[in-house]
Amino acid sequence: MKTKIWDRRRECAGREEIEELQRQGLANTLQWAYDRVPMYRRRMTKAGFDPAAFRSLDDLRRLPFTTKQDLRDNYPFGLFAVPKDKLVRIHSSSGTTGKPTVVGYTRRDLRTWSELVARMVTAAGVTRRDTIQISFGYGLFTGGFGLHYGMERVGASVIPVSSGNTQRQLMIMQDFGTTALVSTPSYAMYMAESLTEMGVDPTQLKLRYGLFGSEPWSEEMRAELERKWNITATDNYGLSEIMGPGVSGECLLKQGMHLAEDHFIFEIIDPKTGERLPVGEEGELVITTLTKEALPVIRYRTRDITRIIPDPCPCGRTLHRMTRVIGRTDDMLIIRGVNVFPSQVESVLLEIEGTEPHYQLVVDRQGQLDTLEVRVEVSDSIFFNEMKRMHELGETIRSRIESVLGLNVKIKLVEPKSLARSEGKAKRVLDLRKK
Amino acid sequence: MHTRELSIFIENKAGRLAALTGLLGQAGINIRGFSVADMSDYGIVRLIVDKPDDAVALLRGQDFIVRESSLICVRVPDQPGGLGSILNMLSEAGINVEYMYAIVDTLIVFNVENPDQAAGLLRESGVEVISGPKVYSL
Repeated sequence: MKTKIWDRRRECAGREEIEELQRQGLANTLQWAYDRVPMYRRRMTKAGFDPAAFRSLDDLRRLPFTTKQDLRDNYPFGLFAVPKDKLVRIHSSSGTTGKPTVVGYTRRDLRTWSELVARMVTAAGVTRRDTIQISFGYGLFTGGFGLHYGMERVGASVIPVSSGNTQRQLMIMQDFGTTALVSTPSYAMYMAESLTEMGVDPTQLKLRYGLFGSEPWSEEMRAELERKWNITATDNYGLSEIMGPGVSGECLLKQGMHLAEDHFIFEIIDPKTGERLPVGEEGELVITTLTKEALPVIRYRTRDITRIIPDPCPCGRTLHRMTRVIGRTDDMLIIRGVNVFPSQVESVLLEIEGTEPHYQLVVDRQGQLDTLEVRVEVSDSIFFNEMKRMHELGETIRSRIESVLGLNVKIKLVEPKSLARSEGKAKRVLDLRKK
Repeated sequence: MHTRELSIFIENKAGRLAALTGLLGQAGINIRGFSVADMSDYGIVRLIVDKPDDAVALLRGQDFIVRESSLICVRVPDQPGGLGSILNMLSEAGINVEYMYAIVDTLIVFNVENPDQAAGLLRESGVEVISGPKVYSL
């Protein structure tokens, strides 16, 4: 499939050119951060690192990581490298698990962001002739605005619907002739089902592309979404601490997300030792910004587990790719030697139900053997008054989870709201094994 | 008029059934009949109560999952072959019984595929079919 390329010069650049850009960008960023951000200056000094003496990309390994906690500790503007009058936008995380993290952008940062999102959406099939429905929330969350300005940069017609109000979403989609949908994959699934219930066949709409992100999803879910809507669905990746959406995104070949290596350096590390892993191995993604002015970030631990694909992509882009995010380091479990992520269980449940279910993984040890029990809250939509059907439901969940994880699991159906929650979110993992 | 039945999902944990019935009792809702189907971890409690609407609202408000079904309630002749004769009639008409249980007296409620057809059929054959409101006030 031939796809249009937004910035051919950069996206198809040779390896040497990319590495040279990275060297220059890194030298600038290190000096910029050293001069303007006390935390980075302290850390570099402690590590005996002189930014002026920076020579090769390998020098990066000598610097400590930056974590989400660092952003929280410096709440709200402690890591900003520019005075407030240079900021033209401020976003923030929801702060569900502590103080929110705050991120800022200069005018140039916003331009870069739009440019990278334009690159990403072009790779996903969008052109200026498209009508885009953005069903991400607008507001502090970077998803809505990030996609919005990138789509405008491409010249597409943008409908900033924002999230929620499904009936209105579907009316607009039909009446305005939306050709590309930007949303979370689970919301796209829900919309398709709502349309079907209304008696409208989703495949008969003008929709051609779905750009889905901001939550983990699976290949099975992609296949389902593509079939339900008759669209091409692509994955994209970003995080507000680094910029927002646009950090990487799939081309229409759907074989991994092309990384914006001219604006960021991507490393994969072993989450336990912090050692950099050889290219191609699975581990935690660590990102360093190369061109950010307001909030330069050095070796940010994303906690996302992925793998870098260095092979050239048949689409013509030379930028390396990353695989779909497999899970998060903070919730990875090792059960009988198998890596298990709650997100894998979640995606199975999503496929069965179509909505986000509440569940909990309980890991225990009986004798020498680890056991995994998955507790699933029963809801109105999955309660049947016949025992046979309840039993079948349990069996379906069990066999699908077992095939995804490659582990035997026990399914326990529990009463609604019986799983422990912290601030509205269910606690996903209960590890009862003796450490 | 059929008899309304509430099916409630309940975990097999000590005190859950007591909590459920206690809740109804405190609200002045009288249980006219019940049955419990259970697996190892959970069960489905089926209730016939005198005030189904109140019970549904009360239980949903307490985060119980409740599903309603329409059942028919018949008086089974209190003699040998009494239940068999009724089951035969249904089976000959090709109506499948999902489940059934006895409530006060020799009354038995049936969850059948087609309650209207079944009720009509049994009534014509002289079986007493009892309406919901009458069941609640027995």
